[in-house]
Amino acid sequence: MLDRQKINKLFQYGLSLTMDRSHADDLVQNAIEQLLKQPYPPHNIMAYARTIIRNRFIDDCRHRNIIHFDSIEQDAPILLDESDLESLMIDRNTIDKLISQLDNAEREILFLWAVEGYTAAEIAEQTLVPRGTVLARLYRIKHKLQDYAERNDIVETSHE
Amino acid sequence: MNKQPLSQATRAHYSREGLSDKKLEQYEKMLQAAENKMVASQSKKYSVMSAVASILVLLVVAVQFYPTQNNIAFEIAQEVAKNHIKMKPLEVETDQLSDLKKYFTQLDFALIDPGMMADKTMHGARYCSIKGVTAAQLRYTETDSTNRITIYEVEYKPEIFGKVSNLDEGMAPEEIELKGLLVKIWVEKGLLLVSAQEEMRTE
Repeated sequence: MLDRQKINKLFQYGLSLTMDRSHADDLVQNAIEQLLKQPYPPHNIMAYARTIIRNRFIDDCRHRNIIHFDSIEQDAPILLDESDLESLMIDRNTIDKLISQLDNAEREILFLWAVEGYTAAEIAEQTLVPRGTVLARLYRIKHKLQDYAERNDIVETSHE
Repeated sequence: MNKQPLSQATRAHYSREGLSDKKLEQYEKMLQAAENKMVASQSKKYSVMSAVASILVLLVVAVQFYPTQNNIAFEIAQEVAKNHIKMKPLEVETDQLSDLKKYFTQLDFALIDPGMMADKTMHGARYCSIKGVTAAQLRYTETDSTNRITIYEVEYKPEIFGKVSNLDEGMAPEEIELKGLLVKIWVEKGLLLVSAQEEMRTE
């Protein structure tokens, strides 16, 4: 079932979507309540809980007439491989500001890639979006971070 | 400036966020109450046929939680998780360590029988690598289930693998959860050992 560490990880996932502690907490509480209604615990409880959180987040955005995830243009540039993001070297004191430059979808993908260790294909499966969309968002993440950092001289790319 | 890879900085960023103890306690109580209710109804149902294994077990996994995660450990866990999920065919099928030692002539170390696998069934092994160092992947199953466990054995090189918990000094393995797997990393008898298995779930 869920221990404290897993519950906190779900909260962190909610935070990646909402950037709001109170909203993230609501999402976690709803997810736990939904889980407890199931007759049997799901096979992958964390993936299931994240799906509940995500769906609830989307519903909340619709009720507030907010766009939950920006769409991606058909021919948008893509990152060839998620490992390309590893070449970015970040000053750990500025990661907060960098993450605030990203939109909901980009923060979610960054979280699933960096914290949960998922590949682009696995993220696509988790979030039910095409892999190409994930790669396009990864491209936007990389370039947003690079653009912001160049303006503020806080990111460099490792060439190893 | 103190720079680190984006993934490590992101993990450190999120690891600083968490619910209050009060909230966590509230959720734990909700889960515990549901667990107790389920156990009570199960016991009622199987009170006469109690030999049948249908008990829900609430697992509290004690995982060491570092303010900033060990990036090397995470990379090792990612590599091992990928190999576990791919589950490539075994090169040698046997339940005897002595047979494995005869097969693995390319290793610079002697394979050991991991203490943690004493009650598991070995099925064989194959060559693999961890962070570019030649290793052996041994495959086990739990005695009373088909849950597969892969164990990776490689010569422990601190300059490559970083500082790792040493079982021989009484330290507990480092545990990392990712991709639905529980990965454990430790040093035993001078070797780096890494295990991967599906996270235990309630039944």
